[in-house]
Amino acid sequence: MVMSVEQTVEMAQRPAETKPTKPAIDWRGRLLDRAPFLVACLMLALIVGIYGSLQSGVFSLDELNLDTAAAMTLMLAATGQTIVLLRGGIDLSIGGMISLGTVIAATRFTDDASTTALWALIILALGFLIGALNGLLISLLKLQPFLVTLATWSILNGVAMIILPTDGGSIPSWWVGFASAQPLGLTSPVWMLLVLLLFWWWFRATRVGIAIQATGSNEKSAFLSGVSIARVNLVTYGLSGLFAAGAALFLVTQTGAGSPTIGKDYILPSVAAAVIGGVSLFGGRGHLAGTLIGAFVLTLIGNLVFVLHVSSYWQPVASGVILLLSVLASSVAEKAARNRVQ
Amino acid sequence: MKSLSRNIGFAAFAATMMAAGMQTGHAEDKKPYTIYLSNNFVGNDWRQQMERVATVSVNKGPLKGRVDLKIENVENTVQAQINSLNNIIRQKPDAILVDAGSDSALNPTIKKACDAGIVVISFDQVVTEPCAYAVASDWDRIPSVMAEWMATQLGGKGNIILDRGLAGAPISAQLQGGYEKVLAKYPDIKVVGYYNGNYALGPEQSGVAALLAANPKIDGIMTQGYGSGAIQALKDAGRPIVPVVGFSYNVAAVTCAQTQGAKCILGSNPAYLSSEAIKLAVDILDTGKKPAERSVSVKGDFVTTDPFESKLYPGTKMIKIAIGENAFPDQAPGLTLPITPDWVEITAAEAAGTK
Repeated sequence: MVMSVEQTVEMAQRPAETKPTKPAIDWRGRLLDRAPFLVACLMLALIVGIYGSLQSGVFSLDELNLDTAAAMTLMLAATGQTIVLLRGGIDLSIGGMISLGTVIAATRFTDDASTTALWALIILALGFLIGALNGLLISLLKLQPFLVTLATWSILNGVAMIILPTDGGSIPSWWVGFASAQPLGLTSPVWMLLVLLLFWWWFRATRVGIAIQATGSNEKSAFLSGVSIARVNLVTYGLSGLFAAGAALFLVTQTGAGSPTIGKDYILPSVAAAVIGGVSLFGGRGHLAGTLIGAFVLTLIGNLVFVLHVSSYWQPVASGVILLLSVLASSVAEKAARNRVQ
Repeated sequence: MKSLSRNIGFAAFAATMMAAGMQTGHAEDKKPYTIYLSNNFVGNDWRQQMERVATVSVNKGPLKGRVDLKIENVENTVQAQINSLNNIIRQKPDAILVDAGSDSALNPTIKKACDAGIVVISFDQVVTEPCAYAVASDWDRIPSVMAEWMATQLGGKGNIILDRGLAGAPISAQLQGGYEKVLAKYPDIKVVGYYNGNYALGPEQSGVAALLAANPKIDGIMTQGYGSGAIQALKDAGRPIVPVVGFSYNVAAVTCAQTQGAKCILGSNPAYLSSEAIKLAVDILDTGKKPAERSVSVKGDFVTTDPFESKLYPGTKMIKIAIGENAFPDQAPGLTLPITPDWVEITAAEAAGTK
């Protein structure tokens, strides 16, 4: 858990020579702090346990490869959403960005690798720019992120429809093959998962990573300690757009086509994955590892419903119950954290 | 005509029974085929009837005991259907039937199933992946025959109004285009007004009512929906009941049959497309022979008060509307007619799930 801004500021103000004596480790506090994440791990273990007892071959590399591919679009979308949630915002526009990304890919990608690579970069750049624009609008107009990104979602959706009114277009087969390629024994989605974790390990300790979390934790004190809120917003939503574009580029390896409406299916699940993983909707608290576990949980519920031979209607029911449990765990942790600060 | 179609029905029934008798011995020494049906959406009458009919058609008739049918519904997202299909592929079934949420976005997953040696048949909302078969209604034939019927009813002369369906829906444009293409051959038939019926009774009734008020002389109504909403609008306005074109929902057939002087033709996208897909899968698995074309068009019979011989599509079958036989006042209004393909006998109650 990152230090809250109050703690950071307090430490900075403390004279250097009176270094505090090492405080006793507050085990109970630490446990409570991590409660939402631990609950997510427990739920994943439980789901995998039940799934593994009903289906053979669950504890295998094949299964990991398959499930990671199934969850990767959501994971990428939810990575961006996690950054926004840590900032204390929300990004609905990722739905529009994902749709737009898939339709641009499906209409522009060719068998020529360099053309396709160029367009992939353009899609990623577009994602960052549109996201940054969200951040700019939120800072400049002092509007609710919900409203701003709702508007951009709608605009991007419309543009996607203009480019490709119905599902279709085509994605070159070598791009589609990316998802099942197995460099060094693991499929590319599993490598992507590892890269995401590495990225996070690096990113959360960078200046901008700390600034985003500090701003999400307490905007006022972050501002007072010299953080540029406008720049934080720009980078936060820019990254969210970038990851949404990345999600689109991965999604087309699964669909082999563009779809002007497909992005909406990832908006709320991206928030749900983060919340299940213990990311607080109030900003400042959470970790990408939790979000990725949340995305696995949401994806594996589908597998579980399949092997249990129950009606697929149980899938949203189960997702909802899990979400509630997660929110409950988060709120307990949140309260405990507040008590300790006081 | 009526007795003729009855005789044909009986003959078909007898043939089915004989086939069933022959199959029993055959089926015993064979393990049933495992066939999955992946359906992306269950939120309307048609999809529910489609699933019930699929289940009934493997529990009686020639396919009895031959198929272990498992139905997997998903929550109307492409990702969910992809994940579900991946789960299905791992069970290594003999065949997968798909009513698809997207005509193209499932293609890589479907290709994976084909590569695993699974027979894949898309039906209703079909896919473009060449390795999968596509079982669907012939959407060129349906509007053409109905427009031809209207022109015949009007003697090639009169004012009609035309339903544009749902704005932006590809099927709406296809039906409207199909109607207009045939009507264009009759210079004395004039389309005097358009409305959007949105495939719901309310908009159909109000759309027709508004056009009736604006046009003192209307000789025919081409709906894309129920047709019964149009008839109700005519009754409410105290106007003569003119020939109406619509689709073969139970409520439409019952309204046509019970309204004095009503003349209707109802085109059908039969819910038993699922049964036809199952049968195709079993045929391919039994014989190892594949149909020459990947597209298989199912020709659902038209349901009409006034059967006629189509010149555009010679041999097109027409069923004369008869209460209790092919129109069921005691069943759900949204039931799609005709209920059963000719190779198995599915009852209205079975299709409606009331039995």
